[in-house]
Amino acid sequence: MPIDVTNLTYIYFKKTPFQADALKGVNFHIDDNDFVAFIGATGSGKSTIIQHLNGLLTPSDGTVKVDEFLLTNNKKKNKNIGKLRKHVGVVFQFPEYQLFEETVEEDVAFGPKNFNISKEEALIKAHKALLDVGLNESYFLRSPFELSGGEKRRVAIAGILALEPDILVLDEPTAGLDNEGRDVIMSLFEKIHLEQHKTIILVSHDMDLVNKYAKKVFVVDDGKIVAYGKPKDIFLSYLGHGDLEIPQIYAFCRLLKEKGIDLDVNKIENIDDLIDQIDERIQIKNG
Amino acid sequence: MDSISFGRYVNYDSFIHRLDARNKILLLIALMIMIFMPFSTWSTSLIFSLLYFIILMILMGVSHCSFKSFFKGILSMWFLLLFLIIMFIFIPNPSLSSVPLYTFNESYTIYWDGIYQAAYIFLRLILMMSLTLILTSTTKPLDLTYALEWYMYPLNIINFPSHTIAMMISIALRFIPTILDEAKRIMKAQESRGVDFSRGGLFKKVKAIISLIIPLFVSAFDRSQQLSDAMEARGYDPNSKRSRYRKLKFHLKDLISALIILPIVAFIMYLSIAQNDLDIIYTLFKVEVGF
Ligand SMILES: Nc1ncnc2c1ncn2[C@@H]1O[C@H](COP(=O)(O)OP(=O)(O)O)[C@@H](O)[C@H]1O
Ligand SMILES: [Mg+2]
Repeated sequence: MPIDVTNLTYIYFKKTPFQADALKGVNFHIDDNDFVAFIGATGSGKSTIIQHLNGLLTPSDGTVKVDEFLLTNNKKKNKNIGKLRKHVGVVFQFPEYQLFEETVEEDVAFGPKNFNISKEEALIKAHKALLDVGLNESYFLRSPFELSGGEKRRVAIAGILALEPDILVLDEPTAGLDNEGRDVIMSLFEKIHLEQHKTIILVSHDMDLVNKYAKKVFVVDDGKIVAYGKPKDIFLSYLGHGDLEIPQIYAFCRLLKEKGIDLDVNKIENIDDLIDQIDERIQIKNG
Repeated sequence: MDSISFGRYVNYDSFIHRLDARNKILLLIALMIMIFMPFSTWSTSLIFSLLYFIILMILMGVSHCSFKSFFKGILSMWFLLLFLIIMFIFIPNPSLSSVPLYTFNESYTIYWDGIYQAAYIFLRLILMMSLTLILTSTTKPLDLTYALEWYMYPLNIINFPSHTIAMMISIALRFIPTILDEAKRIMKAQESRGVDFSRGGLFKKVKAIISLIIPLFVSAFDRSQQLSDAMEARGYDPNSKRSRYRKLKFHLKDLISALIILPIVAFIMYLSIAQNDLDIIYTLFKVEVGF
């Protein structure tokens, strides 16, 4: 399902003393089966953008088009939002706060049941989603409240995966996790992307993860998209000035350059490329 | 969202905003008593209420209250108004001065007084609402609790924990917006899982509300635990004496406003209690004509 957003504008608390212009004319296109990331400072508008993708927010102006679903500022015309939510699954920041059922499997089955799927079928989908996120049968009947933070988050993500959405939207899915939990979750999304051909839309502050997993990056600043492209191109264009945090490998290259070791950054996309180039230099030096 | 902003503190810099919170609470109570003072006939009471209404609307304008959310709040009470009218119209009204309005089958009579009475009670409700609205939208919640604590201070003699209670109120007030934000967030998360909070049968509605309430409670308990840990870590002790960052100050304008409002309230109470309001109003009127 391709996504087309044109001139999207959003104002919180319109026409009140608390009015805040969060989005000021955002345009972008996301292909089917793509893996994209939105990056930018806190308060730049990333969460506001993604809440439009499944109709949680209604545009103040402009349009959001997901496949044949069209959202405009005319609330009455935005039909089928319920259906849209089955196709676009949004996992919010700290999703563990949405758990409420007595057992893990019931909590995960809650979503499918809301879309009029029978209880048995919903449980089957729930079990599959739980196995997908790496929680085995021993977890199914436990209370979600007695799990660890990382496990709770995986249950919450399974709750969205059980809806079998075509597009998976993740708002800072790794916030507050330790290194290991981060890698587990991110490789889970990559697996879903590669095996089930779902579109993944990631919002993240962690530039290393963005560089490693995303195919395209949108840079959001002050309610607008200011740059767009492949992660490497984006990060290299921001290498000179400090507006944007950059992945450690590029920061490392920058430090090396200051010490007089000028690597060919255009050929570096991941840590292996970096190691290869350094290796090359050492061999040249050793004769 | 509009219902949330009703009565919320709005940061303007008006005369009423600058009054001392203690003074505002005192005047609020005085004015509430005044509003509830009845006069000898319904018509006088109604006229006085209309007068209060005009004055309060002016005060609301002065203090930048949102008229739109105020009238929306009133409109949402239409059911109450209907109920009052029906109730007062059909209650038998044996008062001698009652003027009949309509008689059914020569046996049951509706009196004008019933309608006056319903209108008067509804008007009083609106007056109370606008008074509290003026207080809460011009006074920072924290200042309000400090003022309450100040009024509760004498109760310390009988070991009443006035500081603890004020602290509890101010923490509760502090967390209302946070918990509302949290509720919005959880609602969005559950809506993403297909919950529809606005439609559905009773069973679905109950399930939807459970999916909101339980996570809300879990996070509120988490938060209160964290807060109490953090307060203890910074040496908070409810029994020790504490200094204040912001102090309440009684200014000249507080004195002036109290000196204007309190005598008026006293005068109206006198009129009402002595039940000779009409005489006095006539006398005043005559004096004016005489000039
Ligand atoms: N619920 C809200 N009410 C009012 N303003 C909001 C709300 N959510 C976000 N904003 C404002 O909108 C802007 C964008 O916020 P957000 O989309 O959350 O940014 P990000 O996710 O990039 O940190 C910010 O200025 C923020 O203050
Ligand atoms: Mg955000």
